[in-house]
Amino acid sequence: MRALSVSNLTREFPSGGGVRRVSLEVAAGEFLVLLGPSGCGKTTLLRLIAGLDIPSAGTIEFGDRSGSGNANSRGRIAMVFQNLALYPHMSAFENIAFPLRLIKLAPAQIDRRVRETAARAGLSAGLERRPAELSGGERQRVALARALVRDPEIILMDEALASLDARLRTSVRVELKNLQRATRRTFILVTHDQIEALALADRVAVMRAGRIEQIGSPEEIFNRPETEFVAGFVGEPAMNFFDARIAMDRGGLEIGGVRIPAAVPAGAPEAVRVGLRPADLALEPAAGAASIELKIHSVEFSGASFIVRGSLAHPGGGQQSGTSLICALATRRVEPGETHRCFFYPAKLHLFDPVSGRRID
Amino acid sequence: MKPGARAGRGGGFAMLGAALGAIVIAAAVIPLYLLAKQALTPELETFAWPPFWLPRKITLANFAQVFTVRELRGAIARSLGVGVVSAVGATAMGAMLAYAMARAGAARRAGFAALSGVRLLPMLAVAIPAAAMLGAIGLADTPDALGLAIIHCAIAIPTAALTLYAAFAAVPAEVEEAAWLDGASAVRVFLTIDLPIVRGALAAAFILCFILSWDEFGFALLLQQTNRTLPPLLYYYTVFGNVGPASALALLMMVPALCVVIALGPTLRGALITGGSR
Amino acid sequence: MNWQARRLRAVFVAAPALFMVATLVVPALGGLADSFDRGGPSLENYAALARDPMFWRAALDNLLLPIASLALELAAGLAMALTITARARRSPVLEAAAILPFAIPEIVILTIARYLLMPRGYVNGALAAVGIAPAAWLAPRGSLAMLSIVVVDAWHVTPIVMLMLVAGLQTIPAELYEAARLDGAGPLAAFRYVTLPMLAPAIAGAAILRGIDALRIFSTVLVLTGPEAVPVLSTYAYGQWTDAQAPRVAMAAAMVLALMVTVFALGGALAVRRWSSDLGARA
Repeated sequence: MRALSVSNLTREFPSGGGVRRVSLEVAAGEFLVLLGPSGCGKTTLLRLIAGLDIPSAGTIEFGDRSGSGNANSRGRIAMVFQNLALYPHMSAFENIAFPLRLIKLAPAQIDRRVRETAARAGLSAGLERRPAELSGGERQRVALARALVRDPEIILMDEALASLDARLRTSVRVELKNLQRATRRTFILVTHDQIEALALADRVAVMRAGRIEQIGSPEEIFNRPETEFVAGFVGEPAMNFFDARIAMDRGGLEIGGVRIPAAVPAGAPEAVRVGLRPADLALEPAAGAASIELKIHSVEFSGASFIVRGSLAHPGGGQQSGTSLICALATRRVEPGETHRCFFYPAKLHLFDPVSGRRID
Repeated sequence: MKPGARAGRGGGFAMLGAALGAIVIAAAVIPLYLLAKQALTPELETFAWPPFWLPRKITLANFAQVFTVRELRGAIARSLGVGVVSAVGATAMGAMLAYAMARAGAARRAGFAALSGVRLLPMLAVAIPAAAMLGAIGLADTPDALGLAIIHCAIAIPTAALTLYAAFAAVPAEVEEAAWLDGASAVRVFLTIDLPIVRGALAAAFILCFILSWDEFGFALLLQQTNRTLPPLLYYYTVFGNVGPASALALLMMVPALCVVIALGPTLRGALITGGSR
Repeated sequence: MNWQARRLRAVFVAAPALFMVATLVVPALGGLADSFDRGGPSLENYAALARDPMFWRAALDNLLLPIASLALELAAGLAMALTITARARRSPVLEAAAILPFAIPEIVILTIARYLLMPRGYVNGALAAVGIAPAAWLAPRGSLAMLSIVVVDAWHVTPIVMLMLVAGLQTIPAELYEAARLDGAGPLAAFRYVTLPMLAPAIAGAAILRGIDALRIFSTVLVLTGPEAVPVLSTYAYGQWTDAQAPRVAMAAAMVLALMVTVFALGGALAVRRWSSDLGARA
């Protein structure tokens, strides 16, 4: 069932930013994450859906009925703001109760629903306190409970976890996902944090400069990025990119003068951008793997592995490869200044058109 | 180093500062002492020559007179009424203006310009025609002084709006948006979200407007020629030589403002700087 | 946010604006029309002003008094502001005393001033006690009365000038004084080359705000000397309205004053804007 359909939505600002001709369908019960760097239009899109801003063109439809970001949509939507936007003069209880008081529910019912929802959001004590007297995590839960309390069809969250410190963010993230499963509501979350996006989303929409670059499951986004931008934005450490040429016999690639045996798609142009995730580039040899030589510049220990950065050691590799430093993961410590051979499966290479930036298959 | 340490360097500057401080304190205290002395002694003492510097016979007769003479009691009640009514109206309308200015960029510049413009109008250029107009609708010089309350309300609106503007501007737009998404109408958002958040500033604005009205002399003199409020009444008592009651009345008139200076202290000073000069 | 909020804001601007127009602007415009009316459009009211030597005295006094008041208030306000901020520790008593005269209702200040300055008042009493002949502080048409008016007005409003200047002084970074001291500047040089230039915007702002009020001087003159002893435009208009029963002449005088206030305010604002943009260009 469809929860939301956005088509050709446009809203631009004189100062830049905004969205241009964005179309999007969200299924009921889905957790959609809008991911992108700041200024990509993700918050604008969320505010348009919420009805807080009015599109200059395009339509927004909820469920089967149609609305255009007007007051009619309000009853179906709740929102958690980046700064949480709690009512500073009301207790936590009154904050959560506010939407119910507006629909004039009986006091006993309000009391029951507020306490139920608060408990569900992980908030049991301290309901009588004001926002200023609550911890960051508690405030976050109050904001969430306020959004959930009138049982909206769609819950919008704008960088809603950004105000929490790293450790708390991880645990709230888990709770949020469980909550979404339990309530079976549609969640749309805006974030610039790709780890958060991949962890929470059923589908991720990666945005850039007012448009959606790619929309798909976290696995699709990570494993089959549709554009060079998506490939570079998602994944930590970021994907390595090389300028490469298709070999004359079209039986492989040349990176920095080194021939890599790889399957070359039919329509590929002569020059391509090649992406390779650091996690797919290892210091340990493996059967059927291709290899490049890396002169190590720096080594960081990340706990699970060593993050190694270096440049191509092949003659002339530095200029031709189109990248300054290449990142690989190692299972043992190596030292800067050493030269190491790094191995990868050609199947793990991502090919992009250097002009359009689109994926080549 | 604090700028204060500068004074410590030259002994001359320190002495100059001490002398100036002494003058400031004397200028504040001695006149008030003399007023209090006059209020608490019989009129004969006040007219003595050379003047008595210390009270010889203490009496509360002057205050008793203030509270028993009908004209005086009426003036106190009228001043209180005009002050409260005009301050309520000015705070309400000032809040409306300040809110619109804080929320809409277009209203901001025009609002500040208009509010400053109002302060340019000479009192007489308004008061004389206003007296005629109020007369035409039966509100001139009435016992309840409603006409004066209306005018005081109008001249206090800029003060209220400028006092409240910063408070409304400090309420994040997201808080309003959250309330709107929760299902509140725009009016409801204003009443249940913004107003309670700025209640401290509302109280400050009310008090400032009340004092503005309580102290106002010119309009009161021209608009309430027979049913007088306190300032014109004090004027007539002073000019026509009722020293005892005039002194007692003057002393009583200072009470609200003094309470505020003591109670509000720094807050009031800030408000005075930004919006209050007269 | 939405059309509903926009409509609310429109109402919130319109309602107070209409109220203020109806209660302040409409009367003022009516007064303007009256000043050109003598049973038909006429300049006769202004001609009557021009013929009246009292009006010219009032107009002249209405220039002299504000200039003297501004000078005294700015000097005294600056001295008080420096005294208060230069103290190593804040003195609540001194600060309260400095602000007190402004908190006292104007009419009470004037009442007290009358008792102090009347012929057998406390000032003359104090002078007599040290053997100085009493002076006629409030005598009509004397320059002494003008001095009294200026001093009493300053007594009441200097605190507000001081508050504005204190606010200005507090924006001057302490590092500037340290730098000046390291450059060998004494207290006077620091005042001349650091305090005064940095404080200039606050002084200009105070001068404009206070100047507007000083031009409209009314109650001080009325209460201390009566409407005609030291005439200013407000009291002259008041006298025309009450004693002379000439409301249209009174309105003409009020309009002359309105023009003076507007010219002063606009001129002051323009001067400050040009001057601050000059500073900005130089910086």
